[in-house]
Amino acid sequence: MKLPLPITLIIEKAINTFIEQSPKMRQQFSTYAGKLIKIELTDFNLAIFFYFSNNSIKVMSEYESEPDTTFIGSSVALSQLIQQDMTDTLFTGNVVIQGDMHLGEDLKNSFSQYPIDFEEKLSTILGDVFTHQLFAFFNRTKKWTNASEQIIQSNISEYLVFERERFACQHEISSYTSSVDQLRLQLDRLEAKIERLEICKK
Amino acid sequence: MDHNDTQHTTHFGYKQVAESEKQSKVTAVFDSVASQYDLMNDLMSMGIHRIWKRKTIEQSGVKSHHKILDLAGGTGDLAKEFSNMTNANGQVILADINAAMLECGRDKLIDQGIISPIQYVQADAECLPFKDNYFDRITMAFGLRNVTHKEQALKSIFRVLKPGGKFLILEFSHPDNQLFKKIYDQYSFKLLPVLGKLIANDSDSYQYLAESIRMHPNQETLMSMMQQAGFEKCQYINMTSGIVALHSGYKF
Repeated sequence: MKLPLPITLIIEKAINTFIEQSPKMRQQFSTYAGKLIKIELTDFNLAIFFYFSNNSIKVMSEYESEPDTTFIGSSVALSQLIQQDMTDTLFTGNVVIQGDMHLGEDLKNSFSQYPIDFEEKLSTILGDVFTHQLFAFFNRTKKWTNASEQIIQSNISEYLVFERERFACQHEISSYTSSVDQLRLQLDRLEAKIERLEICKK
Repeated sequence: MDHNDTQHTTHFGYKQVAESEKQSKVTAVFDSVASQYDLMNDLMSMGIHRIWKRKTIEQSGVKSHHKILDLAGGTGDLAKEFSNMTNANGQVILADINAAMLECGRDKLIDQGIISPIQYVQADAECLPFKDNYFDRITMAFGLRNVTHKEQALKSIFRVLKPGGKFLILEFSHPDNQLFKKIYDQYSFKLLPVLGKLIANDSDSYQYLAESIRMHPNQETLMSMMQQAGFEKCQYINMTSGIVALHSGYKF
């Protein structure tokens, strides 16, 4: 899927308006001039390209060039990437980064340093009422997605444990592992006693 | 034998003129419309020309170190974007055969604070004054249909393009939908000259614009012309139902 041009232009305008208002951020982003970043949102099957030019960022739905860094992940995982430590997110496997990792980390840190209030910025272009409704819709969708994810996870777990009896439940596993731990400790103690007796015998 | 009988002719809109006359006639058209060119572009295309140019930028795949030639660059819409996308290692040359258009473009960009890395060259696409294999990207937006010897221009462009470089032609073309074509014809031949008269006080130039678009090779023909000039991996994208087509090809 490709983002329609008017949408990319709105995103571009919002980002550039925000950058223009913050000289520090503008200076920081100017260091990325000439870099091409690709973001692939797996849940929407959507790719967005960000070309850092001298004093602005171009947002495009396609670009006929190899990106310097590509971020691949769901929209939720990518938004978490900005808020959390990059290593944590990468190790969970929710986000894949290809290409120049250093640039990816640098960008991630820059975005974390300057959290963007997109709602406030977009409201200056789209108007307060429409922007509020748009973001309320996004927030509702995000909440619904998170809740649905938890419910599905819980249902699958319940089905596999209690109905199909394929796996043990959490407290059974805890009790089993704790018994194993105790047994291991007892064995260690027994081993130590035997070693002591052998030394005394000698 | 009369000298005129031996002269080759070419089209100027729907009229047949001597090849040697075409360039001066085209120059007269653009001299006349140069000052109102941007305004007329916005009015005639209802602003859609910005989308067509944006698509050209997306397809260009320009990188910051590239040397870019914006041929028939006119008022510098593409050159402005490219200048923003290149760094000190890059270079953008805005070239146009028409001095009035080039001057308008240069003044506009300077007024907008855009000075480097754009250089301005008055040049004929048929014999480009640049060394071989120099540019990484060459674009030509709404210029090729005014060139007298298109094959010669394509060869000249091929010569100055680097191996691995990409050439893009954004040009009016032929709509693929018959119903849409009829509406478009009515618009081009009835409304366009009136708009030209009202805004630029020149209906003839806009009559020429409509006619020259009809005389321009269609999508497939232009693509085969590019292939004959030596370009490879040629393709085109129709935009706004084929009113405009973006052709591209590589030199390998």
